[in-house]
Amino acid sequence: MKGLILKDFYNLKKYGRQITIILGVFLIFGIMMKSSLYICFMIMLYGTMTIITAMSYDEKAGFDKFALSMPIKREDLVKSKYAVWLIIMFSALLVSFVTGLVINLFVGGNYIEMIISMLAVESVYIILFSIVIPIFFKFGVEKGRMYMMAVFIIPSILGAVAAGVINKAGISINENQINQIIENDMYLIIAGAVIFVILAVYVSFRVSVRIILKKEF
Amino acid sequence: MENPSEVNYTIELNNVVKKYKDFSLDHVSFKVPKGNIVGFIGENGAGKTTTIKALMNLIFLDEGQIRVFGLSYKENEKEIKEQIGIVYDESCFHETLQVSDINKIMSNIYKNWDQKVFYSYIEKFNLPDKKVMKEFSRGMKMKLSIAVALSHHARLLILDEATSGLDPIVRDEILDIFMEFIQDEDHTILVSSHIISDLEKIADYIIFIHKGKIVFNRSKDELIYNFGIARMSEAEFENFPKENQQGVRKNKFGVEVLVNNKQELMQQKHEYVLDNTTIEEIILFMVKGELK
Repeated sequence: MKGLILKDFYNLKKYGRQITIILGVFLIFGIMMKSSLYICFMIMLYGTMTIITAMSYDEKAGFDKFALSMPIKREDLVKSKYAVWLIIMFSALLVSFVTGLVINLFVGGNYIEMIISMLAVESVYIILFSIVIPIFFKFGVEKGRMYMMAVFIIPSILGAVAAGVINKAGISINENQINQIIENDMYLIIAGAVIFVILAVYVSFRVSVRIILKKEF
Repeated sequence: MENPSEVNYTIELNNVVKKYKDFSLDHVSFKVPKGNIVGFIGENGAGKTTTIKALMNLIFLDEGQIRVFGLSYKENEKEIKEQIGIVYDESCFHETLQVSDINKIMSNIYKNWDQKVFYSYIEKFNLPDKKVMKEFSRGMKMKLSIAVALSHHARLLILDEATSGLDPIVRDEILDIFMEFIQDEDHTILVSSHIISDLEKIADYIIFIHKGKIVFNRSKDELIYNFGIARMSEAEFENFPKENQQGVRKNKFGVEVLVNNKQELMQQKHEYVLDNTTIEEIILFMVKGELK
């Protein structure tokens, strides 16, 4: 499995350099806009999304067929991809923490709020990609991209519709009340979120393994 | 479990059936004896790649069994694949990788990866160490795939259309490497190709697949020794014994009959012309002629 992980990192070397340049530009924007969150979210998004690039490289090379002709278990093919995903994602999260802290040193800002926002956004990314990765294993990257858009867009549409319905029904949402709830049960909410995220990744992994066990190459 | 060194057949396929919408492997059975080069021949779409995929456990069988080195995939997949070197028709290495990257990746995949052997092939094949795969020609990529297949002390080399699309000089170099590999009597090679002349040079056995069925699996020398083409007139053909005809081709000059008893016919008195034949001609006869 180590060989497969190494393969992804060698492949992503050049891509990593390109992304670093793009993020450098975003960093300048972030400083100009006096906001650390913008650049932090971008770093995290690229960190989470890189797995798609790794999978598309494999698809282009026809590597999976070759990998399974070597002494590699089907399950390890999946395991290595999730390992690469988590390694890059958490590295990106760490980089975005440090970037956020450094920017905040210059422009000022609430550290706690920044960290909580980042973790909340990261949780959403992880949950969305937990849905997306098995789709990529099932349909391949080219077709998978269409389904990915659906996974991203449908929740937004549902959210907008729900907001519309709530508005129409005349139910007013008291922001203070919600903030109160969050403040009172903050640790409980964080613990719940962490468990939910871990569970999402685990279920996603098991589903991907099942897909690969049944797939013909 | 059988002791691998006592197994006489490296590959055994027994009644393998795999059905697709528009194509099926139809009860494919053959054995590949240890220490031989076996040519797996058939036109495009005849089922060569599907058979190799089945052999590599990449697809699931509807029926039948496969054993490699006397072992079944169910319990011994890793052990089997450690000992197979495989080369597909397309290079499976990513465009961004260099030779040194591939060396490191493979050393973490194969237990018996031998860096020294790998670099000796890289040198022998004149492959550039610092270039990325994107800049490699098709011939270079294929040589690299062969170098990888030969650098982990494999006992079985499988090549799926690996020499197709290469120029004759590169193909010849590769055939020399195969001859070197097969010097060890524990080694076996299965080469699938539709370039029959290549296989004619090196193969000990020829397996011919047509429309998902095995037509024959015979020693090359036996084929060349026993098969021949009898050329005769329509009138002569009427009286020509039917039992040893393998294919018939009619044209305006008369009738050509592929026979599998050339030696026997040579002993008999005959008016017709009896010629030697090649594997390529035998195959063409069987595919294009009226198959018997």
